[in-house]
Amino acid sequence: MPQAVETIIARCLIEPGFLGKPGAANESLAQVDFEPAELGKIRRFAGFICKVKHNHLWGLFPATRRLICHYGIELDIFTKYRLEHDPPAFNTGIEAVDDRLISFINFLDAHFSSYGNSYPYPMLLEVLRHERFIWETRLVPTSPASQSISSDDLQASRWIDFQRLVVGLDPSLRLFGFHYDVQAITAQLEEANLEDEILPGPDRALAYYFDRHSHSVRVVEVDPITTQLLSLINGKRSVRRVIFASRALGLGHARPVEFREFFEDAHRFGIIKFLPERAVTQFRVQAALPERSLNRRTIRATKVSARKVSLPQKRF
Amino acid sequence: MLYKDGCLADSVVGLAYSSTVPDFIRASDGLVDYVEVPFELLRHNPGVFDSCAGIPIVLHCASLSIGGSVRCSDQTVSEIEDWLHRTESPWLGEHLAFITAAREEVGEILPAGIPAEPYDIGYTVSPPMNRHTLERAANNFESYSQRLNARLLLENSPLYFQMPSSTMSQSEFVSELCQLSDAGLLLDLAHLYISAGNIGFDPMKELQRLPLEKVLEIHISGVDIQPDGLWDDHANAAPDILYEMLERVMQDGRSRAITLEYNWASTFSRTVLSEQLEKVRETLTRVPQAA
Repeated sequence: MPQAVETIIARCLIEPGFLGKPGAANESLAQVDFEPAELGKIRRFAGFICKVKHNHLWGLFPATRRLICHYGIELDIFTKYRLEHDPPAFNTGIEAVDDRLISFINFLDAHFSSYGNSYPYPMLLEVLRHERFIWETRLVPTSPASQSISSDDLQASRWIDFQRLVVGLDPSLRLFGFHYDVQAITAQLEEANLEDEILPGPDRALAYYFDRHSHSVRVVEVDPITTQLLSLINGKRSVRRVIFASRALGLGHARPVEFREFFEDAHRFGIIKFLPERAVTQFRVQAALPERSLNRRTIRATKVSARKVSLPQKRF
Repeated sequence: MLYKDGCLADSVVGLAYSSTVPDFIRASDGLVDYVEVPFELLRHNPGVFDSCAGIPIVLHCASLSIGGSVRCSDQTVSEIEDWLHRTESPWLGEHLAFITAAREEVGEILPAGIPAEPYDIGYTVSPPMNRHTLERAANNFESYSQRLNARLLLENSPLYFQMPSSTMSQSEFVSELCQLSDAGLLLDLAHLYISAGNIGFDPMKELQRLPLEKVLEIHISGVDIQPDGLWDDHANAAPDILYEMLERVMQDGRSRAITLEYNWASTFSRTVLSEQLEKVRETLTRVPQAA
């Protein structure tokens, strides 16, 4: 019988379906004089093993992990995940890490989302998505830069030529709206200095893109008008058509030079690129962005235009 | 690390491997004596061995299933032997646990009459502690010791629930196993503390019931205290009571290897790691030194 004990315990730990059916599990456990009340402890142990198997995850999603730990719900989450899912290649080696990561992150997103507004830790979903965008942006393949027009040529171009250029988004760019200041929360978590009460702040939109110069992911806060302009860029419209569309949406009084500054700054930061002919880059809308009335004072990104670069004059 | 005839010349302090540990050790200016590396990690990522160049390695293992009924495959045992030689590890630390279990024990036979593949839990579990398991563990220990031609240390597993068909306490089980075999012990103080909390006994008293003279290596790590029990936690600093337990164990003046296991989060604070190392060193200054 001792060997049967090991077998039954092993089955409870590695077959979530078996473990998830109290009747079946209890029947087997009764064969080995196991108290049915102890079944909950075996479930927790299965969740604990699952948690340990996902230690690699925390290097990629450190703020999410720290926040989950901060609220003391790490084991609860992994126990629920283990009961509802059979993690990909659970018992195999390092090669299955990415599959496991994606499976778990999808679960976490769905788990946090399922509560709607009633979840006691609503910032968790936003911090998770913030880190997920950083991770996913890093994985987007980079396209050859040669197809794009250089900043030098761009600045030297006449306005009439500039307007004819087709403008596309960088393939790595993602935009997302947040209710919480996820950048402040992640910084506080990193410094082990999290505020006692985390309250939602003003809605904000963040742009995520891969900076080819530094080979790192950059995150910048963008204002509502920049968000709107970026949403009109689809790799098919020319600069002229983007401006036309944005004017129709409320930017009728903006001067052409302001539009040009926006385009040049966004190009310099690598968020957009100009093409001599139509491309296929599509804008990735991850979710509804915060709604705001258009502010006509500026059409430039808050941080995208933080510094100016002097470029030599050249015509093309 | 001077290790000869089953003894250490002096107590040494090491860290369980994580990706940041080798550089930390190199920068620690002699504060850390060795790195403990799991065989399973080396097997899947041999580059880890190169990353530890110049640092003494102690090999750890979770594959032998000493407490189980399913023998570890010859292939795996050969690989362990190979890594013992490559790392020049003075011993092999292995869990007193099972990690696989036979399906046919509950009648799972394939249609062709062939036993199904064993269950592979992928994590070590403390076995039922009774005479049957005791004899099996002793036999497995002797068999693997001879096959590997290496010193094996057995590590106490944490108890998260009362294992059915257990008839003895863990200290009784471990003590009798040491009498039946030449097993050395790897005493995980966090595991002992966790077991005490979950099963309901005094960890300090339980320490005294263990054959401490057999302990050659000690593990220290964090403990996650949840409403329904205590859990192993290599991502947070050890509670102070573990250092009290360490001092108690070290009162006999024997030299031992003390390994801090903070290897679950690559982002583990270097400041906290340094503080924990300092606490170990401070504890060692308060106990009798080896003659």
